[in-house]
Amino acid sequence: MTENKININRKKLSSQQVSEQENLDGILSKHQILTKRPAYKQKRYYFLLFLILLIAFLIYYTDKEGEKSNEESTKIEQTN
Amino acid sequence: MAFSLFNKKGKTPTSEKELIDLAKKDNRYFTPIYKKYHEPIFRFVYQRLDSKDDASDITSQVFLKALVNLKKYEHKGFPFSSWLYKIALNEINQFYRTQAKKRTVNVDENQLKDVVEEVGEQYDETNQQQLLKALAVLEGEKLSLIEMRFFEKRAFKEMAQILNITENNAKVKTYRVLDELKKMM
Repeated sequence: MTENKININRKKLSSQQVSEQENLDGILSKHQILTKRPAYKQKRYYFLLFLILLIAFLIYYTDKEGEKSNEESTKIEQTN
Repeated sequence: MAFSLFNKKGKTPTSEKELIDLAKKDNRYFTPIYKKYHEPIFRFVYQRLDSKDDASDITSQVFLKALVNLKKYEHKGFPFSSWLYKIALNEINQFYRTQAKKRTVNVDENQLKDVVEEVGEQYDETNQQQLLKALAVLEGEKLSLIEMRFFEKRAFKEMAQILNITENNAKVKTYRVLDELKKMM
């Protein structure tokens, strides 16, 4: 069994010495790191995903439309 | 823009409960809570430790845990401080478990005299030495009860709130520890 260490009449700290130990900024920044929302829970990532899908759809749609108009123009040329 | 303690309705939070409710939604309201309780919590922690730096680290950890768990805190009629002391006691116990260091007991001679007299003995050099030997082997909750009652002069009600037991149970347990100390002396 380990015995406790006993200090008798240790010098008391003054209020100023105690206030020097305050570290609220450190606590708040650690809290921010701990409670930061993961990427999949942040709205801006959903917006970014929506934009990527929209751009992909537009590229696909213009590509398809381009093919259609090409086919139509060749058909017209053939009939002529 | 500087942060003011005025809430959206333009009123300053009047009670501590109101301030805690606001701090649950906005971290900035935690500042006055921290300012109010930093010193008592630091002293509570430092009383049970050898080093000021360790006490400072543990105090920061206590407030960080309080901030993280503030949303879970419910006002049940106990003072907010007892919730913080409870977290502090858990952090101190965890510190000693992980560091495998000897538990530190800080005591003044006058406080030793109070314990010796409470045990029903006359205070002299021999009794003081015997009490110190007995305190050196006291563990866990038993030591906490003696520290809180005789070294920090806390009421049984407050001790009960911190240790999560009933007031009556705190009294019974304290007198049992005193009996144990008497036998060891």
